[in-house]
Amino acid sequence: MTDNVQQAPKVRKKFKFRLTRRAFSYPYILFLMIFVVVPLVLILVNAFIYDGAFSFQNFADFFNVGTSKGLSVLWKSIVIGLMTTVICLIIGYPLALILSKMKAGKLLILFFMLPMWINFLIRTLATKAIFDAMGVTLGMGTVIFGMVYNYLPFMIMPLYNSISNIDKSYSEAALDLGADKMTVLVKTILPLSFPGILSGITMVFIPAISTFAITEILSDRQIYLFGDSIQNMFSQNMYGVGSVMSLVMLVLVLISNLILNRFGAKDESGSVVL
Amino acid sequence: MKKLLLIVLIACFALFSVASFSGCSSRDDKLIVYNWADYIDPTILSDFCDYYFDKTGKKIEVVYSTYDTNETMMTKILNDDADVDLICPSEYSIMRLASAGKLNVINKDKIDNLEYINTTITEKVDEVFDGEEINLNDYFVPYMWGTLGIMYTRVDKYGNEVISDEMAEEAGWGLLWNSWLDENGNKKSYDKLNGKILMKDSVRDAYVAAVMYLYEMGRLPDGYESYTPQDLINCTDDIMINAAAKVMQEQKESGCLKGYEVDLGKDDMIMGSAYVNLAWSGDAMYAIEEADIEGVELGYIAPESGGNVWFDGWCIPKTCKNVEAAELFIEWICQPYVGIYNMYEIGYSSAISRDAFISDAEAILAICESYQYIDTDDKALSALSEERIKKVNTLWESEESVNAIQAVLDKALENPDTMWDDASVLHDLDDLIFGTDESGELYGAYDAIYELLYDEEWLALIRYPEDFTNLGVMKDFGNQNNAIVSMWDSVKASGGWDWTVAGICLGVCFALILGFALIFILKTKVFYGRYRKVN
Repeated sequence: MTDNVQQAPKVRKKFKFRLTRRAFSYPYILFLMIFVVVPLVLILVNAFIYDGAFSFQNFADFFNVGTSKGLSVLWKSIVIGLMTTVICLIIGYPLALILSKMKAGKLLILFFMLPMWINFLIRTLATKAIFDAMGVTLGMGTVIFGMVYNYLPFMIMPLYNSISNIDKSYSEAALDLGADKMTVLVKTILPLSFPGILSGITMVFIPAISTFAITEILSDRQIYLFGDSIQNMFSQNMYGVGSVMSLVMLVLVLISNLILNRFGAKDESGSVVL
Repeated sequence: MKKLLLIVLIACFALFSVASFSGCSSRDDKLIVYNWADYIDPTILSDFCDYYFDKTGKKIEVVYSTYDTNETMMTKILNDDADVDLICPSEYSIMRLASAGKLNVINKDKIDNLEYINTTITEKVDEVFDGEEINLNDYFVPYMWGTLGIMYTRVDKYGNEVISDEMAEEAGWGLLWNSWLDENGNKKSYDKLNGKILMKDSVRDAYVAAVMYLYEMGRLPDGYESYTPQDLINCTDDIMINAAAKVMQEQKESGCLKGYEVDLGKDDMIMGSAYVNLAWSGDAMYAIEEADIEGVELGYIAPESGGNVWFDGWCIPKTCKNVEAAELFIEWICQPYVGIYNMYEIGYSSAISRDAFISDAEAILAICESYQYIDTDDKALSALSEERIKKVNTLWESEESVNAIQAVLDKALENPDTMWDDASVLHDLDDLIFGTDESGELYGAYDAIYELLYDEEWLALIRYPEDFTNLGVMKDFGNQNNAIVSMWDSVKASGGWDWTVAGICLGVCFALILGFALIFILKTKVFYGRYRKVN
């Protein structure tokens, strides 16, 4: 009450548009509201609506292990996502290291980026055609191949950036102090490129667990991941369960992001925009 | 910041309300048609404007928009946010929209040309909806229709015979499971099909196949043995859903399945990486023609034991703002010659009856015209002399020859009851188009019309399923929709998990990580060891 009394005598300012720096942010805020906030709110609302009324039924439907395969599908997606990430890291790190040592590294990295300029659906369809021509049976192996192939550049780029940004004098100092090459790699370069590893993992793992087109094409829809399941629910007008699944996905992404951010708080060089 | 939020929210609200309230008044200069993609011959759409002008003396503009799935269209119509006058949904979708009260009852007395529609469809619908609250026939006019069946490879691209017609006939739906009963009740299968079978990634079609497979194999749950195919495909109680889920899982786990497809099945069949596919008759016909060019012989069968008839029909939604034009559009599209154009363009069977086609000069002309162009890639026709090809390809440009053809037709149509009996009219037409002296097997107007009229195999399987007794119309799943979608989700989630591949991947990863760790540990030990010695 007292606040109101105090505010009353204030002369009401007329709303006047001034071209300040803040004004430039309005389009972005509007964009974020319409395309990020509103959809998220809709998902949140839909998750709690069952038969037109507020209910937790959708959650019960999804988490009921007896009737719903949702959790096992989620688990499978996480395992496939982890495998993709680890394989990408194992292939990507040595490659990024070699490329950062080479003079022509910048040019060579272009070759790894080149396929990225082609739409990934076309690339995946082409991969399927190659497997078909080779007589390879489509299944889990081909799905993992396709995922690694598609997400490898997302791993290499941040790794390459963070490794090539490491000041050479660190490794020179380590060598001067008697470390051999292996020790330099393990004790100097690896810890210093840690932020790059983290952002690489983020950029591979999170899209990998929600992918659906790659599994559809490269396994003839035999491998059914969480993304496929969400897509199935939405296309069959089951918005409730679909929204619950999207929420679960969102929470998962938030958790993995939080964990990765905790480690990579000092990340300055690693993050990269593709 | 609060103020900003408020402004943004108001702006959003204003945008939405403008979008939803705009154009509430009725209009009479525009007709908005909302149809499946690639589901009409775009070249004749302008004919409607002339037709409308003849009937009403007014000009009209047709706005044509398309959708890819019934669900996309239904979401829009159910939420009342589609500003359209005419839609073309599939049977279950019509039912769902009608029971939600989103469709106008079509005033069938006002619309001409409906007598051309094949009555088997409407009769079947009457039979299925007998005693129900709503009868679909009040809400739609049939447009295209067909059956659900199985497409199989007769001869692959290397010339090897894969599946004979006899085998397909004997196997029926069992072909999709690579397990069927022969006439003596013995179980049979065919090794060549393992890993070569495709299912359609569509729960409705897969459900029909599963239920009919149960029926064929005599594996229906207790108490359901006396059900007819019509009852079975519409039986969606929990017992039947579980039984269907069981055989679908069996199919997935037995290793006979290559996978599920939506639109890549045709390519797989032509490539030879699949031999069997669940397909709709129209798609199958298209695929058969396509495969023929590549030298692969495909076949299609709607199993004798029974199955599903699907159809798409024109409906007028409640949001319609130009009912008169919508009704005239239906009237126009029900004309036989329009039906021919659409049928040849999209490959599906028109709901207009065969009798209507063959007693309508314009329609026959349209049939002849669709074969006007000789494709020199066609082996049978490339044998023709250059002169002949030129003649045929320019036939319709010369008024003289068009008039000659028209004259033959007009004369023949004087006695429509007997005109096709001796097929002499067809020969006359063929002579006019291809000339007389060629005695080889030419694919001309004669063949085109003959196929439409007499080719039993073609008619029975693809164009016009004559025997309707074992076929049913599948209703909307209604309240059981969620249960069936969840079942389908579980079926698809099961299996497909290759532990060996997973094991190998994880194993290699762990080995590499371990290796690195080992090197690291060893190296540091060596390093520190040396360091101490120096000291």
